[in-house]
Amino acid sequence: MKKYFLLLAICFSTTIHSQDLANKVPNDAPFALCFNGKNLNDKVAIKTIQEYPWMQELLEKELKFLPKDLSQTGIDLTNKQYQYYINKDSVMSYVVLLPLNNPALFEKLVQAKYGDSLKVKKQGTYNSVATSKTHHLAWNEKFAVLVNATFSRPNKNNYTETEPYADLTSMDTTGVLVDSVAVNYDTATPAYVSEETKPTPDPEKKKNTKKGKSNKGKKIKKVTEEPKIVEPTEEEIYAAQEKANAELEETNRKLLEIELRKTDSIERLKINPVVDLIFKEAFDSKTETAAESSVVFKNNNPKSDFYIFADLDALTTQLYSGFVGTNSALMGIYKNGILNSNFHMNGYFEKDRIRLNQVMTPKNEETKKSYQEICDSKIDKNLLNYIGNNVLGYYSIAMDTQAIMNYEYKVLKNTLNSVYQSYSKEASGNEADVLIDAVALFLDEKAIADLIPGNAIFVLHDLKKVQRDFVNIDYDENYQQIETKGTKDEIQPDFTFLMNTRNESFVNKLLQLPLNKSKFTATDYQLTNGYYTIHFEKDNLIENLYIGMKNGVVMLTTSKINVENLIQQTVMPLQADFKKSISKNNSAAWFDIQKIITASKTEFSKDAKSNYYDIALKNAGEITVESKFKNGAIVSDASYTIKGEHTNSLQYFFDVINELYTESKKETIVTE
Amino acid sequence: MINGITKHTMKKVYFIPLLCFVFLFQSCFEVIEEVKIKDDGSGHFNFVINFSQSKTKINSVLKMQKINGYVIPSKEEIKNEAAKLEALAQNTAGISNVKTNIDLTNYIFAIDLDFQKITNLNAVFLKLKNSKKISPTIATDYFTFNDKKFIRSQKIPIKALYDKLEKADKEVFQTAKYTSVYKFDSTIKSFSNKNAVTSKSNKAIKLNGSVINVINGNEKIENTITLN
Repeated sequence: MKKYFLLLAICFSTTIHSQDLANKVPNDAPFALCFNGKNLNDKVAIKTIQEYPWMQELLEKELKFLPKDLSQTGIDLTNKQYQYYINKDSVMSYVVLLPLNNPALFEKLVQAKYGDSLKVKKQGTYNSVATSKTHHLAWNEKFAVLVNATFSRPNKNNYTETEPYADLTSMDTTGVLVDSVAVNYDTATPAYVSEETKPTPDPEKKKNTKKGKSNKGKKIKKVTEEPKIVEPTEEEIYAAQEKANAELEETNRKLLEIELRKTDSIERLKINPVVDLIFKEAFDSKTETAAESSVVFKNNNPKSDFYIFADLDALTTQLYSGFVGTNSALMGIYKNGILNSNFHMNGYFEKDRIRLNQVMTPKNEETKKSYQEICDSKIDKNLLNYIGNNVLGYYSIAMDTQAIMNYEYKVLKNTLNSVYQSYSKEASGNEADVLIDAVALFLDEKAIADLIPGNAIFVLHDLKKVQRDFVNIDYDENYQQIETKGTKDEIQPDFTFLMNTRNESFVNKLLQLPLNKSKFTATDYQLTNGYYTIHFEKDNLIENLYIGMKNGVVMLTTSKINVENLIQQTVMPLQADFKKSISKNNSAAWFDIQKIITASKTEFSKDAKSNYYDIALKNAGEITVESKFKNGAIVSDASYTIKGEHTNSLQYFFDVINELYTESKKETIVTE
Repeated sequence: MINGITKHTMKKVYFIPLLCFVFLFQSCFEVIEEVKIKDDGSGHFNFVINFSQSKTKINSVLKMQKINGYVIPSKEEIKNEAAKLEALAQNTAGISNVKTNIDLTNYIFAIDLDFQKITNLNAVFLKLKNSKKISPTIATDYFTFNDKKFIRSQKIPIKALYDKLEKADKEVFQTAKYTSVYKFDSTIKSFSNKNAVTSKSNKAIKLNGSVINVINGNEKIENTITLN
């Protein structure tokens, strides 16, 4: 017991210790990422990675600035690395926090990447450098901060690139704005700002006079040239017009350039203070957040290899406003929250599989209740009786349709109210409720839920090889046409779709409807032995599609055996682990990629290079996904089981890249 | 080939949609152009598009209403269009025995006709062009036959036309093949296209290639054949 506590204490202390950079991530970051350097390095050491031939080539060509020995970058690769996204003052920043073990080496790396001319600024406890308008970098003894910041201009749709002078008035004011701010604001680019504000009025004048001139020129031509019929020629008129057009285009181009340079300086003025603030907060220990209590990292499992956090609504709102502009009314859609949940994922590179544990945690009790109601459904066991053992993959879902609809009403109310509010200041925020309630009056959720209760399974049985004939037109030795018959292999999917219903009579009416239509002949659609058959002509993707219904189970399948078993109520076997996975989860999926690739070989191998195909085949594994409502959240476990001989699932990736690389090398040698 | 009959008749409404289905499932088609010319200048023309290798895909797509933004013609519409084409050719001076063959099982479309002079054949192309509102700048005199010299020229700006197509439509041409066969009464003395191959009797010449290479200019369909 003592030992156990000791172990726990050690684990805990290392967690706290290694999480120091987590403190640098703001609590309100809508997106954050953590790479557990230690765990990853234990699985595939950096030394191993740098020894791969493809990595060697990368280091020699694209990544020349990196040292040959990747452990000599000054970055502590055995510690945790953090990344996050934040939006401040319309500036979208993606921040990377790198732990350092040798700042001198790191500085050398920066110099190698950006050149010696780069000016490093000493700012109190840290060094900083701007490598471009959007890329900024700062570091101290312990860690480095990389920021990629972009400014999203509100109302940016107002100016068009093709006709910049249409926006002259607004340009003027921005010009003044830039000027006045430039005086007070002493940032990295003051010279640049003042230089470009000066010439602004000139081109406008030039343009105006030029425009006047060209107009006049056209008028004169018309007056003087019209009476003379022979001269000038049509070509001359065209030439004159073209010249005038070219001049106008040139002026436009220049104006656009000025406009772009102005935008550029505005962007700098917006970006620089935000970046400075990020640096200041990162290097100032007073502003640190308490990582242990932070929403962002509280679920970061120390055993995981990487961790992702996202506040889904905040992230969508911020990204949306970034791309569309803050004034967009549509932005309101996400303001009140569609998902109202936080998402986090712990990723593990295990020995023989990659496992992703994803959790959607509702932010309030109301959303939690909705999730719980939606997931309060178990798959109808009867559906599992008519699948059989012939399975390449499946996808199942068991959710409560009525609860989904009720949840949708809530979401729609939220969404529409926000949109309405952004259009009208007097809106109380309840206007859309009436509308949605009216819609709900018309829609009978219970009746819909009776028809489609929300249990369904799709099963891919096989990808059959089918031989198709085709006509080939050939020639004899004297080039007389001869028609020959050729054959080729094609793939035919074999599948079954099953769902349950509590309203058999309605489904029955629906299925009988086409029987009476003249459009369908007796061979196209018929009812025999209790099930319906849609028959396709020869040379179709599918030959027959069967539809059957019995005891609340509706089936759409290409397999006659399955539909007959359903009608006769003969239970078919199903692998126990599939059965368990489907019945224990709200949603389950499984696909055997290797089997699917093997089955589809005919279509692949014709054109695709077969060696790559072999590599894909050898390494393709199985995908499993299971989702259910657990401990007040929606939990999804996804895993990819690897194939082939690899130390672990992380090394698997590097190995596969290496195999593909080796193959491509072989090919270039052959072609050379 | 490309500038043959199909290009003009079905281009807008039928040809490209048909090709689109083919693309959807990554398949292929072939185009065959055959001219048989006698010493007196009269002769026979045969043009075939063979979608047979893609019939499964076409069958599937024919059940849809639209693909890649093109309305899919019904089998009847295809037949009607063929009948119109037949009538148009038949009403051209010097053209006789026009016959279209629409095989909607294997999806092979063919047209056969006899001409008195090769210029009559060019006139059919011109008529087709005019009926389809195709740019008047595109020339239609693809064949000339004078002084025992048969010339196949290529005057359509195919690359420019191709570049205007949507990406999905372009894909259709990637695996397409073409064949041209020219047959004569006399033996062949010389020919300009080095990719062409003469028959055993030396009275016919054949050229095989890929459509995309012709579009990109990597292969030529032009040929000047001098007879003995």
